[in-house]
Amino acid sequence: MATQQRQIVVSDGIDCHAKHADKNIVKMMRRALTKNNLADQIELVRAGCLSLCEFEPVVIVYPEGIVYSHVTASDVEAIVKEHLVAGTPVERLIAPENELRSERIPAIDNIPFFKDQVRIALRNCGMIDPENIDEYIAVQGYKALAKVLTTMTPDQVIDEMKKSGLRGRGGGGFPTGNKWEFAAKQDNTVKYMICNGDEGDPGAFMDRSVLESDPHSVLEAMTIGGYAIGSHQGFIYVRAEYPVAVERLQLAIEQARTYGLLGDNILGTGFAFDIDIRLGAGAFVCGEETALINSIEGKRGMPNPKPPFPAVSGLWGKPTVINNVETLASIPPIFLRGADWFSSIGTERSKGTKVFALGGNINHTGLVEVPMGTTLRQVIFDIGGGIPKGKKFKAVQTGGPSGGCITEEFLDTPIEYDTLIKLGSMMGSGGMIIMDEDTCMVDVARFYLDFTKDESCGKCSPCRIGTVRLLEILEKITMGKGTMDDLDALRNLGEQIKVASLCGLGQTAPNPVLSTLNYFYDEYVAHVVEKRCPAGVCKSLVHYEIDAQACKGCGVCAKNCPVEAITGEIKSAHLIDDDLCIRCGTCADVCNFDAVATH
Amino acid sequence: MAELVKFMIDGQEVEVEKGTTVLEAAKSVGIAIPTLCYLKGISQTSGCRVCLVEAGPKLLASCSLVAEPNMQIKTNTQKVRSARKTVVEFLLSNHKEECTLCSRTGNCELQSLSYDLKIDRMHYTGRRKEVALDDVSPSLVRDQEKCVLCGRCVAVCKNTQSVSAIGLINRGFETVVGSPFGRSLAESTCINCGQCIMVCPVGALQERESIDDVWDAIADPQKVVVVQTAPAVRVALGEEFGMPIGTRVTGKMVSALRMLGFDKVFDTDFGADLTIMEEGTELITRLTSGEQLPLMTSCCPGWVKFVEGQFPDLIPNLSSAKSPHEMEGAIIKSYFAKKMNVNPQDIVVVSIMPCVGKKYEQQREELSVEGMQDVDYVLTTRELARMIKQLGIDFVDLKEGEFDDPFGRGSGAGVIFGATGGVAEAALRTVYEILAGEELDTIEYTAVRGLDGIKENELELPNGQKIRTAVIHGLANARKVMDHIRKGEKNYDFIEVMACPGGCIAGGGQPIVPAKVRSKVDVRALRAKAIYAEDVDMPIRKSHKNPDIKRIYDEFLGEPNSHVAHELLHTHYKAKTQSSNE
Amino acid sequence: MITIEDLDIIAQKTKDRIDQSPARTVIRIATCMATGGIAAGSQAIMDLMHTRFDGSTDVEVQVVKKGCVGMCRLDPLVDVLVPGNEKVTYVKMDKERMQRVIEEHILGGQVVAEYTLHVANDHLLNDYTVLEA
Repeated sequence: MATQQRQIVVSDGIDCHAKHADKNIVKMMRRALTKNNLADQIELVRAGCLSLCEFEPVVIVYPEGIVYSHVTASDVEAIVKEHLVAGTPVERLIAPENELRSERIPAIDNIPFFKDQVRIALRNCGMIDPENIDEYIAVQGYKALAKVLTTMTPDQVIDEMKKSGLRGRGGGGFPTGNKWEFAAKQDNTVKYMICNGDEGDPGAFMDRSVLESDPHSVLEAMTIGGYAIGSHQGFIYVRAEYPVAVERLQLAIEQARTYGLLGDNILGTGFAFDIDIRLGAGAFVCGEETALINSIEGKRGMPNPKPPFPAVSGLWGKPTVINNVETLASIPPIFLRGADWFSSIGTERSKGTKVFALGGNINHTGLVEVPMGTTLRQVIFDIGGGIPKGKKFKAVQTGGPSGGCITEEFLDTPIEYDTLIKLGSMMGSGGMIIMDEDTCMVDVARFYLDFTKDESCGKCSPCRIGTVRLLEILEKITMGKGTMDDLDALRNLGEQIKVASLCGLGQTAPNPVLSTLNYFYDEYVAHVVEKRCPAGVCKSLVHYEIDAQACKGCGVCAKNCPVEAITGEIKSAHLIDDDLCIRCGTCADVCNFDAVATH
Repeated sequence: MAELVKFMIDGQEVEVEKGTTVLEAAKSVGIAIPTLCYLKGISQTSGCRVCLVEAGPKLLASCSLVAEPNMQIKTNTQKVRSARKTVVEFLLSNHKEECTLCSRTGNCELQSLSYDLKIDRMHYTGRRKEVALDDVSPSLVRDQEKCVLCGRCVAVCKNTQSVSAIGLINRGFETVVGSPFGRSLAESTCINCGQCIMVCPVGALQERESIDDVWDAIADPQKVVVVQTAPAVRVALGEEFGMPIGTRVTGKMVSALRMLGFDKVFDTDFGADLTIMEEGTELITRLTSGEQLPLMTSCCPGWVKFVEGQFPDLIPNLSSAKSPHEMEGAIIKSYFAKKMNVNPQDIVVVSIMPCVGKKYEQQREELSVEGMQDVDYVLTTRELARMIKQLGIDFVDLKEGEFDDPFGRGSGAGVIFGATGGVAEAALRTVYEILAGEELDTIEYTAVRGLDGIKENELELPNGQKIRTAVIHGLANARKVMDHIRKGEKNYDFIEVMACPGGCIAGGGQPIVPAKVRSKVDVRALRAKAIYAEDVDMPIRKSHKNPDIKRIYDEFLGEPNSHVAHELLHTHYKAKTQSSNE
Repeated sequence: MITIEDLDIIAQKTKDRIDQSPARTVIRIATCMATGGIAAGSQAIMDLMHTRFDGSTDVEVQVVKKGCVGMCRLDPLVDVLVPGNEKVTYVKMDKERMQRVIEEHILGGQVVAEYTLHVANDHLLNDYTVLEA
């Protein structure tokens, strides 16, 4: 049997920000290991940021997981001799308990990441086998359906939904109970229940996660919805790019049919409901209800004007309810534990919990579910672990390409549908992209516009042409060719696209531009007037220069420059020709003396 | 009594029938909300966003917004005006700036919108789409760089014609109207009807022109250039010169053609009468034998191509008779050439047609005799108007001219070919008399007239035999009937099909009527009325009574369906394999 | 076709399977098989489990797929539930590491601590990026 592998992890903070650290810790450690004949037995790793900036340089010795902080050259020798060779941890170098708590945690559920989460939609995710219907039943699966079918009338179901205060989790935030009520009121023998699984926001994967991890909860909720509105057929519209989700859904549907939880006479109650899957071809716009309906009908995925709303005239002209995956996953617990329980979570106007996909410059990327009303700061810093590499927080983008950026001063805003809209952003499907000080907000706006203009279906002119015109102006600004008039044009154009576009995609497409213009106007002005990108992101506005004092004339930069923009005699300072420079940054990367600066 | 809805537009109370759109309701109180993609009865996608109105906090497209009680609609606020203006500016910023070179200048809906909304400066400019011209089809040219993506052509092709040769391709800014797999229209299921041209608000679609070729032929002293005009042209040409829709300009048209330099001006009505003789005889033969019924007309090239592509199994039911102008062309190059002692190779036959499908038909190799096409050039009504304008002819004040002999005289039966039901009526006038052996009392079969999509009629002969007729226009209707026939659910003896809704009077080569006018008047009804008035004024109203027809059979053809007639006046068809959008 | 009573019966029968507490009676190894896990290589782990435990006579193990808990950057995640013990989550697993877990933890009863989460001042130390080895 193998003995537990020793590993030394050194994090010296050099890649982060400060140059307070001694890069030689790694070298010294390597030398010390060799000297003591340990080099072959011990793996030495130089790690990137561990977010323990105030303790760096840090040396961690595994498997014990002992963390040495503020390690100096002389400490290295001690760690190797006393700990690695003699086997006794160097107590004097370990930070006291109250300063640095280091521990091994066996079960993932106990880490701080989960501490402040409340899991309703994600309650079963990662807990049960998604391919085993019995395990779903064992966690009270299909109990809510049984309760609804045997003890409640459709009207009571709708009342309960309305009482719960659940609002659509896919973007718009429309109260789910009201949606059901509209459809239920329609006098039509054929109605449809659709699950919208066309998750398309860049970086959002909450629906995917639910479909892959807990497909039965979606089936159960759709059946409850079908009973409430008087529908006997459901469709799950899911992206073809989610093969695992599709496979699990298919399996789940088959299992539910075998158990008679789908089909005629469900649970012997006489209620009939079945579900089929329809695959989307990956168009962002098909997340919009009417475009989704067109797509299911086999037509080009393009939206129709509303009204008529799908609840009145939807799939094949029949009353149709479309609910998002996360919305549906939240429904069974409402019927098991009651609307009062659900509405006790969250805030006055936003009930329950919301799943967010944390991404960008944040330590704990991943999916989190928190009660509505949790502040952005709690999500980003307490649960998300803050910004890596000790950088400063700059903005958080919520709502994906339809949302906007929110700044530091609003971090204590409780997360609710309405508060986010007030800040010029929106809940959206729950994407949260965190940006640090190195992010250029003009470039961020450009990125999102580039996405929406690609995803515009092309039907309505404001979105089809307007988004391109917006993007063109943004590109002009990031190239350093913008004028102050362009900033006005951006604002006017954005406002017009918002009011004139046919569907939500176009109506929200300018949000990233408008919100960054609002909060980061100075940054736009810097690009336009000073021809400067404060974050150093926009390549055309970044200039590389060699510090003649620091340059040792080694010639490495000149050798590596792909366009021969660097000249200079060996052993004398080199020079970059700004006209030839393509801003690739290679010179700065290869310089051993930090002599290449950007401005 | 229909349910009424009361609501407010710009402070005025409006009461309309339930289901009326805000756009229509506004019209009833004198507010013409500007539109672009909307076309009454054809398309209301609400994509262009020109017809936006304020409905509460939101701007909504009035073309699809159904009036609801107590709505508060505002059509004339600063917000509405500036949104409409921006939308049109966007469209202009991605529209080829070639107005002075465009065939639609002066009759372009984008141009008038831009004027009406007072767009005098471009605030937003940038990249324009760059797509190569599709000019491979013999009938149509598509210029994507002028296209505003209103979707009307797609709608008419899909809904009215059930052809779906075109659809929207790509996304966002790169969206274009095109055929499957990005192929040319010429390689699609397109049946060349040109209804797409008729609905296009701008110059993105037009016929493939032959004006210069015809000028060249006229200028060539070697050539005898003979022109013939289809019945529908004479009731629409005047519109190009500002005359009211439905004005009959037969005499002026003949004068103008002569002034253009054509050596002979003939009437395709004569060819129509010939068609009745041939097709009518074919019908009698089939009725007698009871085989290959129903007999289906073959004078519409779009319909013929539709059968060849979509219902190849029904090809044997198509009449083998060529279409009227092809028959006339074949006769001109044989009988007439001999009579005039001209080498047929030196004769150039030009057909003025209300149709762009005829441009495709003209170049079919089946429609040639010994390698010589029956007809050399087909010009649309629009092209003829342009030629007249080119010469500065004051068309409105022209004197009435007369067609030339020997093909200048047609019957009223020939004239009504221009409207849906005309061919059936003309055929029945002749076939009844031949089969019944007696003169008809009333010759007007009103049952086959009018704009219903599918019209059915049973004509009882004195011997008790019945001729069951169906008259269809618009290929979506034709598809329905053909599906019935395939399944054996319907039985007919005779079927007339015109691809274009309304028949040739509303063909793809006729003057283009802007959406604004189309929303107010029924262009087809007005033109059809003129056609039937022509019929009434004709001294002879049955094809077999036309003395020139009698003469040509006596002198040249022998009898209908004779060997010579078959050689010159009949053709055959080929099944086509095509891809489809649907 | 099941009835409402059957739901309870099935739940009762399956309760032990999903029990995350030490009270459970059979060993369960649940590997994250959501997209994040699969992308990080969890299929190889599943294959290994099936080869090792399907029909095994020495030890009874439930080999199951599990869904996503939202920490995809630590994938593949593997939960090991041994009766009488608290749940252990292994992170950033692969076939070789899993082999060790089988031997030391499943068979030997010793948690392989170095594959579990290491937290210092609320910061996870497991997901550092390697700059040089």
